[in-house]
Amino acid sequence: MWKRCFTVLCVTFGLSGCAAYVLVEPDQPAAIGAELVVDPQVSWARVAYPTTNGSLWTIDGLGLNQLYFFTEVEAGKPMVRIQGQAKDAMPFYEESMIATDVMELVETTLTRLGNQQVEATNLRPAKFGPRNGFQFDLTMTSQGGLIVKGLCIAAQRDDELDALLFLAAEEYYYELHRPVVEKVFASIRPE
Amino acid sequence: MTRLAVTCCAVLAPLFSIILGNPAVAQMQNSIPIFRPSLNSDEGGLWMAVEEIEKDTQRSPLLVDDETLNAYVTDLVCRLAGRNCASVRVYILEIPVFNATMYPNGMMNVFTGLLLRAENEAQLAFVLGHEIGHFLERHSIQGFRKARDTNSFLAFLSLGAAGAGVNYVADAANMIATGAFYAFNRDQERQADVHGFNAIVAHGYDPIQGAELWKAVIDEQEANPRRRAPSTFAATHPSPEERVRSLTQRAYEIKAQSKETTDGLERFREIIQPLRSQWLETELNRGEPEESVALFSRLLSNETESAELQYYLGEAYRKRGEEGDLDKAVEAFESAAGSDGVPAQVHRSLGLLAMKNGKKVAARDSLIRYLALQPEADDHEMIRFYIDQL
Ligand SMILES: [Zn+2]
Repeated sequence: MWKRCFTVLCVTFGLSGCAAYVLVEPDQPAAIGAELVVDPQVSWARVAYPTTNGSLWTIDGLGLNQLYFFTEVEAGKPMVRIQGQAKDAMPFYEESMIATDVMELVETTLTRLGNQQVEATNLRPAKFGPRNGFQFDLTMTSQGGLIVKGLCIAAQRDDELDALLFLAAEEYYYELHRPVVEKVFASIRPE
Repeated sequence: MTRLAVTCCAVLAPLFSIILGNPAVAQMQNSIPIFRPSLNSDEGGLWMAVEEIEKDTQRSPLLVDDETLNAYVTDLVCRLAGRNCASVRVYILEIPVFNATMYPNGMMNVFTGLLLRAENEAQLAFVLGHEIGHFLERHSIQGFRKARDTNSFLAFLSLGAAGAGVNYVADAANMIATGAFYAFNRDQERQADVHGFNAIVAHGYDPIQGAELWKAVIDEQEANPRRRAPSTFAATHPSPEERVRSLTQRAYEIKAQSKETTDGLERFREIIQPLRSQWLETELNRGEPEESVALFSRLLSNETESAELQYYLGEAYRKRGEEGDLDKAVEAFESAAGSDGVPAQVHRSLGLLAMKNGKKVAARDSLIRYLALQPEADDHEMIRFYIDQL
């Protein structure tokens, strides 16, 4: 059942309905987690995302693009927690992980959420604020049959993981917003 | 958000039955006319809903377009379906789970997870024959009626339908969406097994192969401590033991007649092996390494020299990460590294494991070797970064 429907991205991360939006101003640094800020560049809508301790932004609506902030993911915890799911339903972040493992963690998380053909590529070093982090690209087919592309930047610190993950419909939206997203990534800094 | 799950119709089984036949294959002589229910019937409504699903399937990014593979599976289905060949249309989908499904209008979906798991043509034929059995028996319309009649929500949707097939479409679409009638009952599964079994016997295949495949898939699923969703052989099905037992018993009865049989291994491998590495990769990325370890070990036991399988088994151990698994991974990688036709990624895996274990010299050597073999690897920047740190 590969209905091409634009609500499909909503379920990408287990969002059932779509919650209330709060405006993220383009020119005000925005806090992400307890210790980081970014410059939003453009207006985003922030959505309460009850399944993780991160937050979720979108430009055009959750069905078309999503920017997830997974901040301070602790060792032994998953990046995404979905209410009602078993504790081990999602893979855990572990302190011993290196960049290649974190990339696999993101792939497995997306796969277990029901996406197909999840493939992460082009792992490369990237600055995450002042820290040495890494970045990679993603492609997948969502449960709704939409081809989705993604860009993820992440860094590890002690026993915690910070990651920003942008996902958008391959058709039109991914390339449209990628430059903005790269600027957001480049603006990551400690608060 | 359950995994897409599941297995041969048995499993999650999507919908229903099977049909036979195939558009890509010339219509067989003596073929029977394609059945089509009246639009003014519930079955007609079900077909219309399923035709929408078929249109989506035709546009699915998961569709595998390899011509040789499509011709091979289509031809096999057509032979098994016999006179009903023209009624079945085969779509191969790159989905790593073990499954094939038959829809009531003749659409058959074959997942690459089935093609990866079957060890030979006889095993594949058994599953396809089983699905065709559901189709010929029109099990899906029975399931549809039962689910409709026992589900007040759907009954409500039917109000005002006044018997016109068009109005059943909403019912059918809702039932498909909610999974209301995915599962066949025990008797239907038994019947389908008999169809699959008879089909392989009639075509001269080794009759034990059906039971062999079921057994292997049960073992694989049972290896996974997280598998809570009904497995392929869920409650509504005959128990796995019963199924394997009755198939095995029948196979020995047939074997006692000492007819010559084939497992179709050579032709199967010729088609499957060139395409397999992509499916091994997607299986590994399914994120169920316990099952991948069981599967890759089984495949490797038939092809002990395969560097490709050794590499993927090593990766599955590495991802499973149980006590002793990293050593088993290294062992598998090292044995792959010494063989011909080894994927360059073996050196990457060896290097990264050595790096995590603090073995800097070994890590550096392996990572340099990986980049020497694959200088344009998509992760070359990261690997160079690691090499510089070592
Ligand atoms: Zn079945």
